[in-house]
Amino acid sequence: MSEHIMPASVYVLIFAILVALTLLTVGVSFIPLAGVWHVVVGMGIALIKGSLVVLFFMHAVHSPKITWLVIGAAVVWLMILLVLTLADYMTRGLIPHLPGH
Amino acid sequence: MSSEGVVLTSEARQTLDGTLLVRHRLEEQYADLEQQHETAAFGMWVFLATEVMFFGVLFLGVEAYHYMYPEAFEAASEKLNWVIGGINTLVLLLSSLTAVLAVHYSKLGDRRRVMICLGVTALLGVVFLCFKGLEYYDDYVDKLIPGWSFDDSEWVREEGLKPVQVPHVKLFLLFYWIMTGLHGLHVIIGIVAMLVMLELARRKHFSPTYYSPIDVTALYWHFVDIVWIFLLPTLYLMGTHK
Amino acid sequence: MSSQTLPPPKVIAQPPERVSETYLNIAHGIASWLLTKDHKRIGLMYLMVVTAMFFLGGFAITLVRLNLLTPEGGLVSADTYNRLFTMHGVIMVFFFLVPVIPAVLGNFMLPLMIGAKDLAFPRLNLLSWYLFVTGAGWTLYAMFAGGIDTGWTFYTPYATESSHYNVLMTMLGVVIAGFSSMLTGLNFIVTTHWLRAPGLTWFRLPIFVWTIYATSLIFMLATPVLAMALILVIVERVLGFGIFDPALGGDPVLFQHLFWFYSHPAVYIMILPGMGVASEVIPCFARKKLFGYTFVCYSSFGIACLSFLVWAHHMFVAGISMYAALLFSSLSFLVAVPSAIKVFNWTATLYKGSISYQTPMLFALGFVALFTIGGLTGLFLATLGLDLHVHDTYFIIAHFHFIMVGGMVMAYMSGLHYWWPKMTGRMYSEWWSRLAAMIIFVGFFLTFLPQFIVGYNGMPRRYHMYAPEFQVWNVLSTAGASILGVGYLLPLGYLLFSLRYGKRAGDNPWKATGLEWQTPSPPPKHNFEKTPIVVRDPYQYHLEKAQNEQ
Repeated sequence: MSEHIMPASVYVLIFAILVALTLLTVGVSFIPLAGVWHVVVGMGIALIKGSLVVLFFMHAVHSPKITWLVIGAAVVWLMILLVLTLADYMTRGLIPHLPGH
Repeated sequence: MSSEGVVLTSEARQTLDGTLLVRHRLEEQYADLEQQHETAAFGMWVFLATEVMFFGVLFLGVEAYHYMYPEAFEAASEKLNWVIGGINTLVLLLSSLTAVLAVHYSKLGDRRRVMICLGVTALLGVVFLCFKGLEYYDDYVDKLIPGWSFDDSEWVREEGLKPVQVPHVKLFLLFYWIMTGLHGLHVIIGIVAMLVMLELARRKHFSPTYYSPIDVTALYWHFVDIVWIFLLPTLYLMGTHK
Repeated sequence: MSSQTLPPPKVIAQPPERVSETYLNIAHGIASWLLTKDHKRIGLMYLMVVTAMFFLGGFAITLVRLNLLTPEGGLVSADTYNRLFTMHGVIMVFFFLVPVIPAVLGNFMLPLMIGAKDLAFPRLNLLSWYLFVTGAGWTLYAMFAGGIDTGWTFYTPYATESSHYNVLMTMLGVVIAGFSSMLTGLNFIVTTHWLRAPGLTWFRLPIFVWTIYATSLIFMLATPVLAMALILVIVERVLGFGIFDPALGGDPVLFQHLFWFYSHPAVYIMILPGMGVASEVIPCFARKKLFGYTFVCYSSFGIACLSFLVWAHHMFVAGISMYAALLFSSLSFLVAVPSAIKVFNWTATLYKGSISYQTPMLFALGFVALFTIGGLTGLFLATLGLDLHVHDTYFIIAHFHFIMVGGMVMAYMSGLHYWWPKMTGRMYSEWWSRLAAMIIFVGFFLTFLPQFIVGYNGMPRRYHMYAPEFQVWNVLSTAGASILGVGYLLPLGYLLFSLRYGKRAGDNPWKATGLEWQTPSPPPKHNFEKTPIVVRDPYQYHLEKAQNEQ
């Protein structure tokens, strides 16, 4: 773990990319899109930024495979929470004439 | 992996650098400092996974309700101060850079730079909180605090919402306050941790083979940054800005 | 070890009393316990707290069952009745069932089973204990200073708006205990990954370690969601921030989603370690290798993962969409598969084994039988059409008590009796312990079988009174409960008695495989004189058989 010493310039480069992506994400919010697209694009850019922080600032690229498993598990489980719960919310009211649906 | 007393790597032996503290850092259940470091870092990753689920609940809530009440939520989101939100994002990103540089210089044994980086990270955290405070004050003036400073009719008059949608606006704002408040709490904890690390570094507690507390604190700090990276679009950039 | 301080013995009729240093006698005084970093002492400290909580929860339900002797109730008011069953649920779920095997047996055994000197983070372990005690104390205070009447499920909007009882305090206690379990889970996961002895690969680990690890995964991924859900209720009660408030457009069912996202995997937190215990005890007392070891390993993970996909089967009648209900019903059928795999494997382990019926085995066999029955009724409940009929009736209560009491508590008893000699260095009275096992088994059936019947016939749960036609079954159930109570009090007696007067156990009284039996009973503070090196697969009981046949 202590063998991998990334040059400091890599960190500065990643920082510059993160700043650029931040400006992008704010810029996109001025483009007239339907709400859901703002969420999709916003989350997408955030995902890229988050990945850069995880990979380089948190040294995931140099971490043992088991760390990748932990990161993967966190992401997958968050998806389970979001997807299955939203599956309820997004399928309510599909059959208007049936009470409670 | 014998258990006769403390086992040191040869590097550790070499870099006692004037203190005996290194030899005392190794705990009995570990074979060497490297195993101890990897374990500590792994432990922090596992903890961060729980934090993902913890904050995830709030993201779920805001998006579930966003799906149910798109107009009200997007109208409310627009009123948030995206300028300060954006500036704060940059502040935190910079602090992440200084945090990782603190780890970087720890590996190199550059105590002075380690202390500078830790200090600047903490300072940027405080700057974040100051901007947040400013923003919260602005929100108070703009009447964005349900139950304390809020004007129902303003949303009907100026934003063109129906009266029945106004409670939904409140719902969005509640999420804003809870999510940014919880995040701010995590920033405060991070600042305290950074200052503790700074003090320990000042006392020559660390060496190139023993710096895992700094590494672990930095991991936490990066996570707090990542939460904000997701908070920005979720809360501030939900709808189209005019 | 024998060459230290003892002078060479003269002619002796019996081996001399062991004067060796163990984790128990290495340091004395209350501070050495309250400030200990030793996982074994922490395990015992958990044992004391969870046992106390168990009997407190039992006390609450005693009053409930007494009230249910007559159809019109009357022993306590309806209001008090609500607070009593809530107390029973909150205490039993959060302060007994969830922590007991992991925090007591897991803490004690995990480092021993993997050949380590302690857990990865001993101070964190102690902090976990303090958090647990704080949460328990806080919740008990809430219970006795007025109580709470929402049911252990704390559904909104009643919990947020209408209940004028100690909702806030109870939830705080539960959240604090939740943090305790997260730290314990973190410790177990990290320890299992990083502190295994040389040669101890994943597929040489005892199943108990696999199940504790899988349980810890659930701790880490599910508990934060509950913590946040309860914090949001607390925030709503304190600050009026109504996330679940219908008046603001909030959805009370969202709370249920968050609550059950934790609470369903939580029941697997409860049962997985029990399955681990059975997987240790059954091969030992059948003198046979565990059948299908690899399948049992994977099924432990399978249970942990699948358990997260089924939570809304608690919400079929709550107002979720029909499509979501269909999805969760199908997924709920799936989760039965890995559990069934384990039952098949235990049964196959017994086949052609040399079975002996010591107490740990009696409890383990009881566990398998009762867990299977309870699990099968779970399939009935996963069936949408049937669940609509029996939801919120005693059928549900019987189902989960078969699994949690018939299953988990029996498995805990099995583990406690199996590892008691290792933990204390003493054997308990086999006669009394077998008696207790029998009494518990009989008492259990008498208590909970009638509940399936009344539930199916429509008796609703959480009511202080019921229709007169259910009285016979309720009386039987209460009678059973009193027998069950006696059965649970007996171990308190003979186990405590054994501490002073029990025969000294050797290192390996059951002649079991596993690293924990390769060290003295009780173990020394550092667990092992020298770090063991593992060269064999677990459960090599058949080698002994081969040796005997030569």
